[in-house]
Amino acid sequence: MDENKTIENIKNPPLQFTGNWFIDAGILGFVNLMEEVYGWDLEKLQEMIAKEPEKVYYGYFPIAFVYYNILKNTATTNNLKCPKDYVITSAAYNKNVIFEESWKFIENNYSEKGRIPLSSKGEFYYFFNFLFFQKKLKKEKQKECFKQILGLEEVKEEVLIWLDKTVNKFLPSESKFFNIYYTKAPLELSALQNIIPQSAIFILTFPIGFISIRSKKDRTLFYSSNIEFTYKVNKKIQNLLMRRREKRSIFAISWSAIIDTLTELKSQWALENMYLISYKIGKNQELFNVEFIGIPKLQASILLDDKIRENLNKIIQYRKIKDKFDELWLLEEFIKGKSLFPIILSHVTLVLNDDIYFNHSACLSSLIVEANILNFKDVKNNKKSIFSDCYFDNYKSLLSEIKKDIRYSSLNASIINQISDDSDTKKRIARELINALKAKDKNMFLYILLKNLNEKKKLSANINLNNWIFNKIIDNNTSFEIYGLILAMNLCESGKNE
Amino acid sequence: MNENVYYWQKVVGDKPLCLDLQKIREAVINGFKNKSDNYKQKLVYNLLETIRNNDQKEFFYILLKAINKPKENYKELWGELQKTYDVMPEEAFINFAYTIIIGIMATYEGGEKNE
Repeated sequence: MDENKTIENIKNPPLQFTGNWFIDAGILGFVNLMEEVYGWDLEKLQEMIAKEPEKVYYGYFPIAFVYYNILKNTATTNNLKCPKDYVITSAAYNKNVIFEESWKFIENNYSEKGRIPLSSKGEFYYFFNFLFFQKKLKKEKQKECFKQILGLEEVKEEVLIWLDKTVNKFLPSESKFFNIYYTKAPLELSALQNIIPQSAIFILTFPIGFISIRSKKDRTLFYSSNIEFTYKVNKKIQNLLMRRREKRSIFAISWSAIIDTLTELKSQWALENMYLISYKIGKNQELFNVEFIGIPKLQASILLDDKIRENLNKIIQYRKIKDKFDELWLLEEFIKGKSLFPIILSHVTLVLNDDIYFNHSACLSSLIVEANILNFKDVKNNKKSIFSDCYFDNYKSLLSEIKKDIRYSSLNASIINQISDDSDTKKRIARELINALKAKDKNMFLYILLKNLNEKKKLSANINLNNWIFNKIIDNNTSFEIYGLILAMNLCESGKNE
Repeated sequence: MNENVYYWQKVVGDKPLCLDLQKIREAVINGFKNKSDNYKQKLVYNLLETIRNNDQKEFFYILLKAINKPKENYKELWGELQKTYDVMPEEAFINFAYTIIIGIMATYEGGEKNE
């Protein structure tokens, strides 16, 4: 019987993301909190909630929240009673009875001078002077606030009635709410509680969902629409952060965590809608440095390929300002959905003019990936048919196209290198070609290329090169510049130093 | 960019015709494969200069003069040109003209033959 229940739970876990990231971040914070205090991982927590939801929400949660808050905000925690082994004994499924039991535990163990020493320091600064965090509130009043949060008592506290800036800093304040004209007021907590009964709990755990990167006030969260995936990735990010002391971009860290988790879960569909959300909280709880970085599915599916990811995971120099070279990380630009072509174009120009190290394979992969994405989008746009086979075609075919093209193009475009034995001549041609590309002048580009090629009859008639130039440059209007650059790249002598 | 700019269409009767560059290239290769290299090389230089100046009149003048040889193998190319010859927008003309040139260049001796 028990076994059946567990299997059922796994199929249909009670704790699920809602699709609203405010609430979802809170749900993740709730999971993190329970794990930190009781050592339950997501699976165990799901099981507990499925079996006895009342005990988890009204018994274990208040204790965990109070304990965690005190633990994080007091210097001497030696005598602090850890609730890890505490078991709620009230057998009844009565929420109030369970809460009374847990509050008794809190009072007995944590009460100090007539109040529970909850503090809004550190990560709880988000709730500065919010409800029971206020210094002047005695424990009776604090208990009452807790009951309102848990939905055991009617919400009376003004700050709790409306969902606005007071409960979540990402929301506007009551007076600035933009839908006020339609609804007369911001959303009421009670309305939200009708949909998700525990929503007030998740408002409280919101900041715990985030990870501190540099300081306690600088918080980041990886968010996707799937709770398991999000939970695992965030956990991995935290582990990586702890293990690596040296300064590594949060982007690099999240990315390796995402890849790890994906390989582990084998759930490519989770690639849908991934975001990195980060904020910093300053004086008067003003948020700044708020960033939402979306990780698009298209880019993510391409980067799942080890070889391509390895090639894009390079930092290249792309411009020179006052004798100093500026660098860019290709992977980051790619994930942000920026075009890599102008970066590579400048990199190749630098190779020609300043003789910097030329990262040939990174450039080739970047350009071919970009060209194929452009073609892919172009084909999709042109077909315009929702009912065609290709509409639901995921990016697998695109990935195999890219790999085929990398092989085809690297082989055939490199033949152009035979155009001359003299490296200066090759560089001269490369410069002329690149200037034509900068001017986006297909006519000029082909004129220079074919005029130089015409002197080498054997090379002109090389069927591989000839076909490649025809297919990729002449008969191609979407990405001829990209393939043109690949050709010019092969004329840079330093292209050999791999 | 707007695709229509490039894939120029010519309407003959009520049938729109698009440039089929692949077909044109094949016709050029078949037509020029038995000519001498020096002749073709010079022809390519002349044609290149006209494209550079977007001089469609001169381009077609040189090209048609070169293939105006009924006894030789240009019939397929004639057919293609008959379908597509017109004053084209610059973008379409560039694609068309360089297709002709790369086709001629593919037939130089010394390279592998295209079958």
